[in-house]
Amino acid sequence: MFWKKPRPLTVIVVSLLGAHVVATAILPPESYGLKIVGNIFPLLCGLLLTAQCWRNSRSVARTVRIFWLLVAASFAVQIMSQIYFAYFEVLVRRDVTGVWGDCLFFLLAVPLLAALSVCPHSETASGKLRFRYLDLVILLLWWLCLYSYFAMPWSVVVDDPTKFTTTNNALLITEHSVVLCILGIYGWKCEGAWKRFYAQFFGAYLIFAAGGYLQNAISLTTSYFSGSWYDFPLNVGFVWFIILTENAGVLTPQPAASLQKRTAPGLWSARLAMLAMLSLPLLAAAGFLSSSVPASITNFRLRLICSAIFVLGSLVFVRLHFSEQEIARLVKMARSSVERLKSVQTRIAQSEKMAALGRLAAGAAHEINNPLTAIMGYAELLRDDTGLTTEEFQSADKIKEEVRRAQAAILSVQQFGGATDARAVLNPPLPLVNK
Amino acid sequence: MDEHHTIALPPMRLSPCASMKAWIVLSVFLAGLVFAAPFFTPSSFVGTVFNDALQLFVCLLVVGLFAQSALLNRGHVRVFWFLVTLAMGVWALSGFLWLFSDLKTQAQDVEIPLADVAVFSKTILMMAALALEPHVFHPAGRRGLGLLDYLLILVYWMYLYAMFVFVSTITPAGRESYEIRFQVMQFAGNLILAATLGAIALAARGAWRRFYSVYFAVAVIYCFSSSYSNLASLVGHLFQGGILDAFYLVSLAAFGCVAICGRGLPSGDLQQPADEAGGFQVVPRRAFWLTRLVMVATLSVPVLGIWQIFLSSFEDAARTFRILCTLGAIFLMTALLFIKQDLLNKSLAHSLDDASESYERLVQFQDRLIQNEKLASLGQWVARVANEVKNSMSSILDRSSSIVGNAAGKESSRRLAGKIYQYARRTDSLADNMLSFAQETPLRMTSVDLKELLETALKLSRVEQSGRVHVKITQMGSPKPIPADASQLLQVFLHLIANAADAIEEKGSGSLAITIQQGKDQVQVLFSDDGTGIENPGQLFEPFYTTKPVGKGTGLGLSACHGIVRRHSGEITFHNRPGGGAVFTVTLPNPSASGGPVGLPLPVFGEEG
Repeated sequence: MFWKKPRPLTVIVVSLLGAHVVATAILPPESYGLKIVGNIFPLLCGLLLTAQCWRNSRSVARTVRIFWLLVAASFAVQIMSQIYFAYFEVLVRRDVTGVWGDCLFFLLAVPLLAALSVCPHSETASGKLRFRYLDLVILLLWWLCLYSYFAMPWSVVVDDPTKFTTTNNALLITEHSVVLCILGIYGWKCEGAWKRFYAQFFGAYLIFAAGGYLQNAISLTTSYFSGSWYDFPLNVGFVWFIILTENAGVLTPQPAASLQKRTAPGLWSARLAMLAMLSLPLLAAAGFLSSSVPASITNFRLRLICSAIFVLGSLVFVRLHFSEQEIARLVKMARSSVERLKSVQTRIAQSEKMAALGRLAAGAAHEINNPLTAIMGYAELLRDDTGLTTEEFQSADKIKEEVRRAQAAILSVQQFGGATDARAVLNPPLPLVNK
Repeated sequence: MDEHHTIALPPMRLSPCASMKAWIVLSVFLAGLVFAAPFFTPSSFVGTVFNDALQLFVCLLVVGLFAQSALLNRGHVRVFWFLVTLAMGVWALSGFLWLFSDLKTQAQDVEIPLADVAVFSKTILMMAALALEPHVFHPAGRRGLGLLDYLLILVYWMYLYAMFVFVSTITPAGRESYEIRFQVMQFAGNLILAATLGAIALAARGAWRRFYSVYFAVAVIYCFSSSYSNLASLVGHLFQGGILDAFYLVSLAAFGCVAICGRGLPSGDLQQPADEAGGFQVVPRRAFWLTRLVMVATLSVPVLGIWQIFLSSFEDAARTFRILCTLGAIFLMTALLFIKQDLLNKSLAHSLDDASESYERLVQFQDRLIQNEKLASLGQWVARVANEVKNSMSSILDRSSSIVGNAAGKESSRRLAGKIYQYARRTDSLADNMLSFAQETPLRMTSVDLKELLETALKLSRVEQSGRVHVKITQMGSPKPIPADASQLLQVFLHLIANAADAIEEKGSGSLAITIQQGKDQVQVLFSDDGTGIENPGQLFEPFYTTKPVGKGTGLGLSACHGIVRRHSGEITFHNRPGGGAVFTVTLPNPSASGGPVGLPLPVFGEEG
């Protein structure tokens, strides 16, 4: 079902990429025209991708829908980052200042992580997911907090582009590795169409991430300009994404049978979220006690961590509240079903005697068949016997008729009971209700 | 109800009442000493040392009393007493520090923050002891959750102390305000302790209520005496004896009364509330507010932290202390929340299992009920069928017997008709069995003469016609008619006679002795044969059990008999006779019997019956 024939979007992006190659080859380096091409191409790609994800999100399955919406959000963030760059290079016509483009590029992976944690490939049993979503939100906020803690101060509080870029790159690599790891694991675990999808996603993301990193690394030196050959890994990644997304619209979740059963609802995701929270005060203390950082940054970080703890703490309490409500609901449910169980048990006890009698009666009916068959046989013999009077002959016929009537009646019992052998309807013993 | 639950205590040398009196006398005497001290020692130093030493002495005595309670109890009550003992021990430690500093510096008005911390943590320990709720029953797992909430509150309380009181000792500028801050905090702590005790006393029942009331009263007295003497010290009062110090000593000694009062308290674990029968416990209402309180407290910590960062000047040592305190408190509280969430999650998983299990069981039972009801209606259907079969059989019996009775007919035809007759009889009796199972026809009780009934049965069974079975009916005593359903009882007798005849015929020939015994309030009918006996007595009355050749017995007869006799509130019992043969005993109640011979010997089986 993949790659049968080129789809329209595929044709468009591949030809766009070709045009870009031609433009880079022809136009002089650092010319305004090349800058326009270099900025417009990723913007167009981002728009096409977002549109395609949006189209894919009209899927039947809920998880798949959420997955595509989050992926769309992720590429929408990418568009914003691209617009930021394009604003400077194309409209204002000067070099990019400020870090917001980089920040947005960093943020791009956050909805993507969320999308992956939805597990679109597996059918989840019930709607018990809100705990996991909350944990996920906590983890993502924690990740943003880390970014704000390590990278942001170097541009917001103290303007130190070198430090910012190095920390930004380090965090970016970590983020990309996490995404790639998850994609790899999914690709490993899944089967069929989803395996191919994740494998290709992995490849596309690898090229995309490497391209982004290359751009960042090169931009520290002076030889970088928009629309140069250094852009191409990123652009190839984009094109791959678009082709993949266009073909992946048909994916539906697989039944969860192949995946192992979850024992507790989100036990580990909760632990992870709480560990993330625990790391914050430690981080703050470490930052506060280290003397190598300017006081203004220390203050910024303390404020940041305290606010983050306030927000995350509120989320933890919301989660606790949900758990308690859920427990109360379950306990109520268990209690009511125990009560109903008791009433059913009483009724069973009452009906047991009648049922036993019914069983015995059905068994007796079964036993009657034997003598009836015997009578039938003897009646046949009698009828064939020579020298009977007419009256006796009629009697024999009458006997046969009566036997047939009786047999029909017995048959009706057996049909009614649904079992020819009374022993087959004996019930297995039931477990006792624990007090 | 509490008296019933009181645990058997190890023997005590003094009854609580006597110990209480002794303790009160001792405290009053010591208070008198403190009161009189200024009159005897003009030196304020000696007075202070004497006062502090007496306080320490009383403190140690109270520690001893609490420790005794801790040893006498078990389980959570012991942990409770242990924590209270620890609280008093910390208090005694502060008293020791005061005495030590008195002797060392020989001066008044020294500040010892460490002793203050000890005095403050005493309140915290007492609160922790209350958090255990030794008087309340806690189902497994819930105590942990409640305790965690309390622990969070205690951490928060300590954080507040460190943040607003202890911080003053770090900077020289803060020292002036230290004393007043500490006293405000201590007063708040004491007040909260007293309020908590009051609330618990209102909620508790029985012996625990009395205990908490005493504890509450003591806490209130202490709260006032402590704040009163603290206020006095602010305006320059010296602790060298006098009415104020005597009052303080009395309030201290009053804690001893708490220890004496608390002897022999029942453990809350034994007072299982009545509504626990289901094995489930809903989250108590109290926990709701506690959780909200914990939430507000926890979330206020980062807010306080931000406030500190914004308000304080940068180079303040107090600021560093406060920020580290805040971060430490956040860490501790997050860790506690971590544990709480994990517990909740596990409890959630457990509840989920419980709920799904009981739901599955419900479905299982409902299936069973449906099946039962189906079977019950099957019984009614069978009754109709049995009647139909009986009709057919009576017609067949008529016709076949007329052929048999036709002496002019062919021999082979008569033989065949005879066979048909035989099988029709059997079918008819099987249909009877079906009926007896299918319709629980109400018993039609009439006055039945058992001997008459037995004779009828004997005639109907025609066992004596073969000549191989001799039957003898004996009547012991003078039985009166009993209330019974004659037709159903006849069925039982017929069956037992036929059974015995079968057993005898299997052997060849023999006799059957039927004996009617009139007991005091029951009648027994014994059927003893000298046939082959029964091979497998255990299964005898089970349905479908038969030893007869296939096609002859249904295995339903005896169980049907059993049913009929049971409905007469009687029973059928059976034993094999040592010499071979079997004895079936039908025992029927005889409410109207009056003074028949009691304890008759078992009938001796005659040679020829």
